[in-house]
Amino acid sequence: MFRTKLARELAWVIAIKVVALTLLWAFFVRGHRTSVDDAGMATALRLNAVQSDNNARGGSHDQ
Amino acid sequence: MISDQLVDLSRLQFAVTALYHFLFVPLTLGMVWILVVMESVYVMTGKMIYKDMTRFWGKLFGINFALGVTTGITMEFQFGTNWAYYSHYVGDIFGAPLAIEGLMAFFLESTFIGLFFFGWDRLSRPKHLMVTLLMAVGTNLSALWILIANGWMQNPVGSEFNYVTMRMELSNFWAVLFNPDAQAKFVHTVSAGYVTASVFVLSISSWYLLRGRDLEFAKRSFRIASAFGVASVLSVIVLGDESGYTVGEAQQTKLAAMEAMWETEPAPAPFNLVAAPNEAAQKNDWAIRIPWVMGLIGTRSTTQVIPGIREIKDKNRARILSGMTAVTALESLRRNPADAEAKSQFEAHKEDLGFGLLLKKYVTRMEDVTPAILQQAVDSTVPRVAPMFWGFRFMVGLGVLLLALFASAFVATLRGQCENKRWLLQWALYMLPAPWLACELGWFVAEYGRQPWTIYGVLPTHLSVSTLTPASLYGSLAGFVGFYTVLLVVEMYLMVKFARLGPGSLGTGRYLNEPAAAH
Repeated sequence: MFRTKLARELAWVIAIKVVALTLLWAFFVRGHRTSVDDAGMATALRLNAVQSDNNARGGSHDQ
Repeated sequence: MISDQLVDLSRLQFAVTALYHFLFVPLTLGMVWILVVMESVYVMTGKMIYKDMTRFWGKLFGINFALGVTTGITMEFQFGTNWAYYSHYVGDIFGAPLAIEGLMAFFLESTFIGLFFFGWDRLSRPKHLMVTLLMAVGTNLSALWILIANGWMQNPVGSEFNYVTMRMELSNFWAVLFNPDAQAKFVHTVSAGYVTASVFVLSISSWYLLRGRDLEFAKRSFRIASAFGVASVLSVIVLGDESGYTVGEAQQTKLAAMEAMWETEPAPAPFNLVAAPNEAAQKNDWAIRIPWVMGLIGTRSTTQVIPGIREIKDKNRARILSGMTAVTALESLRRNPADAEAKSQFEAHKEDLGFGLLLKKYVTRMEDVTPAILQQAVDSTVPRVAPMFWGFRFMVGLGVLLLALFASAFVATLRGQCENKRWLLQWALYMLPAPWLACELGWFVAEYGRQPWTIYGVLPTHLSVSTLTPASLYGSLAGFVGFYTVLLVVEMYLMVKFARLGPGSLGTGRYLNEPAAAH
């Protein structure tokens, strides 16, 4: 499949990197996303916190 | 309330990774131009020793470059992971130069670094020199775009806040590009990199000369480093003065803290050469002062007044009060975007919105602001003075020492006496850490001095952090410290190994420690 040893080694390195990044993402990032939009930003700046306790900073946190 | 621990840990993590990253950046920025000089001489004269110099110093450059790239990438990730609200609020502006840096500069330098190392036998001399030159341009362009982004954090021009999207939006790209702070920071920072690389080559060459080995190679390297270094260190000092001047224009709190100026002095203000800043009493317990100098450096005039910390705080108090109106109007607009009176109020006070947001560290509703809370917010607008004052002075002191070193080295090399002056060679060797220390202190003054803001006057630091848990930050910080320590050990091992081997590591048969000679 690979014509040279170098191409084979590069393919292995890239494959290992993709797997490592996927595992890092799965274990450390996926569950900790902070979604931010205008409402989330307003909440983060505590602008609308008078409306409800759920709007306290981090209310839009997807954890 | 927003956890101070969360903010402090996020700041600590960014500071640790940024200071670590900048251990590698200045050497890359400068070394690449020294390689251009060495290779140009090789192309013009055809003397193999200059090719060997380019290849040997290029090998040390390559080890350093790899660490610089990898540690820079993690910093960009942190804007998303640790500073999500910052990224949303200013990403429209801040993201543009970072993206251009990746697409234009980083690709350029990364592509040509491969050709630099593997193209010696495949490219003609002029073409290989062109590769080295393009690598140098790419590396320095990379610094330009990063410093345009950082310059905007210090002086946020060419942008305005949109209360519908709740973020800052770009209104004038050219203002961001030609931001005086960014341009001054760029030339000052890259010059500091040139000094760092010059000291690196000078120190290692001095070590060879002290040991009496590879003399021709070391003397020529010493000569190039001393000439490049003396020009670079003069540039750092002149351009650092320009950078300080722009700070005085755009960030008066930073300048006042750097100079421990508590009171507004009649123009031209005296310069505190050394002093003992007393934060509690808001004064210096003692100081050695030089008349006129601060006024002349800071304003380049004899009549313009530099405001002291007390006066700045009074101005900031007025801006916080105005900002309270902006925040209240913004809250009304969020509830009812058609509220004409709120819109009018907001437009009248929006320049001070950031100052109003400072109060959100202490209260949720503006109605709950007490005189004590207002005073806390006012006091927070000026960074702690002693670290700024001494950080700046140590940086300048190191710059002056480096100027003396390069002036001495340049004179010695012009007279052809460098290998005979052991005191000079030992001095050059022991000065090896100095430029790194100066660079780190410079960044400390620039970034710590911007507090309490991530975007000066626009977005307070405590509102910029992601909603993470302290535990996750402790975990990632420990991971960074552990992993980076391992990387540093590997880097130092490789650097010391190849520096000890010297040009003999090239295997050309012309130098000491040749691999073939060892058998």
